[in-house]
Amino acid sequence: MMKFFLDSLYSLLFRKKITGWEEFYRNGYIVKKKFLSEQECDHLISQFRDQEESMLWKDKVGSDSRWYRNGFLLTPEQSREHDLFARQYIGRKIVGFDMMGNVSFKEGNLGSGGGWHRDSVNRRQLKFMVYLSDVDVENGAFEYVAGSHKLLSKVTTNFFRRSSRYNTSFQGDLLTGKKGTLILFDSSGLHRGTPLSRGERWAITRYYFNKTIPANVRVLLK
Amino acid sequence: MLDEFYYHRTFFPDYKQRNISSHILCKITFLILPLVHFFNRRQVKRIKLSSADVLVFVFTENQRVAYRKFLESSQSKIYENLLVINFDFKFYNLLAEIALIGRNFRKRKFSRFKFELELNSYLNAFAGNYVIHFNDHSPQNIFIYNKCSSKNVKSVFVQHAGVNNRFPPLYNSINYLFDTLSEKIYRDNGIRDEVRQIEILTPKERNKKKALPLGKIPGSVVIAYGKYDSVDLVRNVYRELRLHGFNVYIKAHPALRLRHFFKLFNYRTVNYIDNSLIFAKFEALVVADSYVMVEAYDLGCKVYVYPGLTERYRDNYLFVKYGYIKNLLKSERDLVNALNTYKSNFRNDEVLFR
Repeated sequence: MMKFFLDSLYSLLFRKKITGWEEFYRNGYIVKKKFLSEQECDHLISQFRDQEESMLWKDKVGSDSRWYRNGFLLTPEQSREHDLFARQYIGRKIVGFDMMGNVSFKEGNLGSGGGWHRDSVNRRQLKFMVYLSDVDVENGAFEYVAGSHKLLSKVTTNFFRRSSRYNTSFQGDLLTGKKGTLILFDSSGLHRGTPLSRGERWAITRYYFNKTIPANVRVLLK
Repeated sequence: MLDEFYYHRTFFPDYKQRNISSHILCKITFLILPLVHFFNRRQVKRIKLSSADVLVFVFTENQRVAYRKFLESSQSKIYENLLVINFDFKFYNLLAEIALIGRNFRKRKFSRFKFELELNSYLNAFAGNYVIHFNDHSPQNIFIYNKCSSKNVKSVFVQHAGVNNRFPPLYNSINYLFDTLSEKIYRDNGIRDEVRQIEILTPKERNKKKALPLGKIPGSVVIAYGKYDSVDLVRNVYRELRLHGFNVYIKAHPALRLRHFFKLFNYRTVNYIDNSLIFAKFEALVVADSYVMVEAYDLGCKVYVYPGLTERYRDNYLFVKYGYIKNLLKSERDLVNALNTYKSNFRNDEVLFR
C-alpha cells in the first residue's frame, strides 16, 4: 500500500500531463475508431490460427483462449504514438508484450478477465486493446468505470481490503465498436469484459509495465 | 613451434615491427610491470597447480561468457577438476588497455610481453592433461600452444567468436566450434597436422534455446558496432532513429568500450557482459558486419543489416555469400521503413546452423 500511495503522490505532484490526452486523464480510457484496417485484422487472426495448441492458454470453461507472445504483434509504426505516451505516463523504462485472445460463448462464462477487477492497485500499468472483430453488447464488449483510475476511487474501494477482485457490480461505460477500434486504458481502474450471450470476440491487447514484468505473468509468455 | 607474429601477418599484410617504447604511456607501464609481476609470482605459489587436471585461461569478459556456455554443453563433462585462471580482473590488463589506445600493432606486441612472464610460470608448475583457451589468433594463445606441445599437454580451443575466410588454419589438438558454418570455413582455410579432433558444441541445444520471457522494450533498437565500423556513422544513425521516435541504444564491441568512452558520452549505451540479456529485451538489432546477429536471431530479436555503419562493407562472415542476408538496406530511409514494418533481412532458418 505504501508504494501505491508514494507513487500516486509522486504523479500528482511532479508528473506533467501531456496536452491532447485530457480525456484520458479524466476518464481513464480513450477510444479511437479505425485504428487498424480490415485486412490487418484478418492477417492477425490468421497468425493466431497458425499457432500450435501448446502456445495457447485456456480457461477452465474453455471459452477464453489466449496467446501470450514474448514480443509484439503490432508494428512500431502502428503503436508509436501510444508507446511514447506510455513512456511518459508510466515512466521512461517500460517493457511490454502483446496478447491475442479469442472469447467465445459457453454456458457459465464470466467474460474476458473473469468479472470486475483492477489489474493492480500499487503498480502503474497501461493497456491498449484493439477489437479484431465487430463487438456489441451481447458479444463481450469492454466495460470501464470512468474515473476509477484516480487515487480517491482506489482509496474508497481498496482501503480495507487487499484483493483487487470484486463481487459487487458497478455502473460502467460499455465500449462497443467495429473491427479495428482501439481502446487505451489505465488498467488500475475498474474494468471487465462483459459475459457473452452469443458469438465470439477477437481482440489484441498490449501490456505495458514499469521496468519488469511480474513473475506470475512472465510464466505465461511464449 | 609457431611464430607469434605468423597470425598477425595474415590479418595485416603491411605489418612491420616497430620500437614499442615510442609511446609515452607505454614507457610508464613498462616501469610498473616488474612490480606487478613480482606480486603475481607470489600468487602462483599459493595456487596448487600440481593438483589440477585441466587448466583454463580466460583473458577477456567475452571469453568468460564463452567459458560459462562451454560448461553448459555436454562436451565439457569429459573434463574434471578444472582450475580457472582469470586475467580479466587483473590490474595490468586494464592498464595496458588504457596505455595502448590507438594502434593495433603496439597492443599485439605488448600483450605478448605482458602475459608471457606469468603464463610461463603457470605452465611450468602445471602437471595435468589439458589446457583450455578461447582464442586462436593472439600471441599469448600461440605461446600457450607452443608451451603445451613442448610439455606433451593437449591444448583445447573453444571458439568464442565468429570466423571468416581470412582466418588462419586450426592448430590446437582438440577444437570445439559453435556451428557448422564455422566448421565449413575452417575446413576451407585448411587444417594443420597437429589437429586431432574437431567437434561442434551441442548444436541442437543452442537452437532449442528460446527467447528469455522478459517482455520487450517497445520501439527499442540496439545498434551494435565493431572494429571496422565508424563511430561517426553510428552516431548519425542513432540521431536519425531518435528523430523517428525509436528508443535507441548503442552497443560497442567490448574491446572498443573504453576507447570510445568519450565519443559516446552523450549517447545511451548498453554495457551488459552477456549479450543474451540485451537481445532478450530489445526488439531490433541494427548491425553492419558482426557474428552477433546469429545470437540475436536465436533470442527473438529482429536483425536489420545496414552496411551504412561502415565506410567499406566487406561481408566478413560470409552471410551474403551463403545467402543468410537477402537484401542489404541501402539508405537510412530504407532502414526506418524496414524497422517500422518488421521486414528483417537476415534469416537463419537454413540447414547450416543446425
